[in-house]
Amino acid sequence: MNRRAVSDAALLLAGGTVGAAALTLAKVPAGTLVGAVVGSAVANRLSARRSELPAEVAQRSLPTPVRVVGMVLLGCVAGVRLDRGTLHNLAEVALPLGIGVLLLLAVNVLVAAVLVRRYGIDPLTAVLACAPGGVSEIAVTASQLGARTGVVLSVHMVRVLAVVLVVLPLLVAVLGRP
Amino acid sequence: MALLLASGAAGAAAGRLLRLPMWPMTGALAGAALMHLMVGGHFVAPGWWSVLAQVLVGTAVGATVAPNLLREFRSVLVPGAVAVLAIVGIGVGCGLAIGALHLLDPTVAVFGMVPGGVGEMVAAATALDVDSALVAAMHTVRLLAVLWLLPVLVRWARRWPAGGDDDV
Repeated sequence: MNRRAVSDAALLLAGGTVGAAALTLAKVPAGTLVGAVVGSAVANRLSARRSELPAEVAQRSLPTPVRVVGMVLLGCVAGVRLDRGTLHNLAEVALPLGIGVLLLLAVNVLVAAVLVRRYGIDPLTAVLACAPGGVSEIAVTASQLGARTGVVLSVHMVRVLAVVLVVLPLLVAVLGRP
Repeated sequence: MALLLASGAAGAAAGRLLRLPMWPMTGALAGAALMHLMVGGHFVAPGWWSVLAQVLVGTAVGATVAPNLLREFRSVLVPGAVAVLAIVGIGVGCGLAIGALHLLDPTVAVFGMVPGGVGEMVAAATALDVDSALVAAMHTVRLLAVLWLLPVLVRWARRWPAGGDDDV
């Protein structure tokens, strides 16, 4: 990693840590995760504002390995919890899960058709923007197939942000967990 | 702890070679679970791993909030919002339905069905101390199904006539 990547990571992680600590101490639902999202976004914005460079250039990005380490840790935490009960539950829920995934794909097609007909978005971009898949996989597919990658990515990132910042705290509050 | 981390890292590396979707997490999950099942005993990941993972994943999400992202979304604000609301709404609805049918704990069901990013939903499930392995497994099934069916949808969509405001 070069010096710029290290300083970018340090600044964003500092922002994320401060945000996570603040919202956790404030007992906000899912405060660690939500706080880290808000903290790093705010740190990035403040840093870009103080820079004399154009916003797009001054914007800092987090080196991929940082996210990979986080995901590996999550996988380890989840992996040691996996037991026969988990597999039994997954088998029991297989049919409704399959129906749910098919429903999501049906909605994908329906909403994509609306975007094409009503808003004039090209069909490929519309289908990929509405697909309920992983952001990175969809982004690669969009780029390979020549869809409007910026639009596809922005819709997916707004979906993730909407879930983390709005839906998740609401669900935690409604479902009555700490 | 070292054994758990090593098995998770080995699983992630294998997941990358096998091109698993979300390989850092799905691979590490498989590696840690395999080690757990083979070695036996009662393994528990240290609590700070979960906190650190949430901070790292959350920071990565926050770092993507760039001005050009919001500008792109603003250019498709209404259709983009329709897409986000529909997909998230269906996910929440399916999760609540599975919970209401008493097939799963409602929290696990909702977190397993809401398409809000696998890492983010597993991180949230971990924070709430519910079955994050099941949440991860449900998302992996969704990702595999979508990746499998997406080429079919794309081929079909390419045959659609282009539309526009005049078509309405």
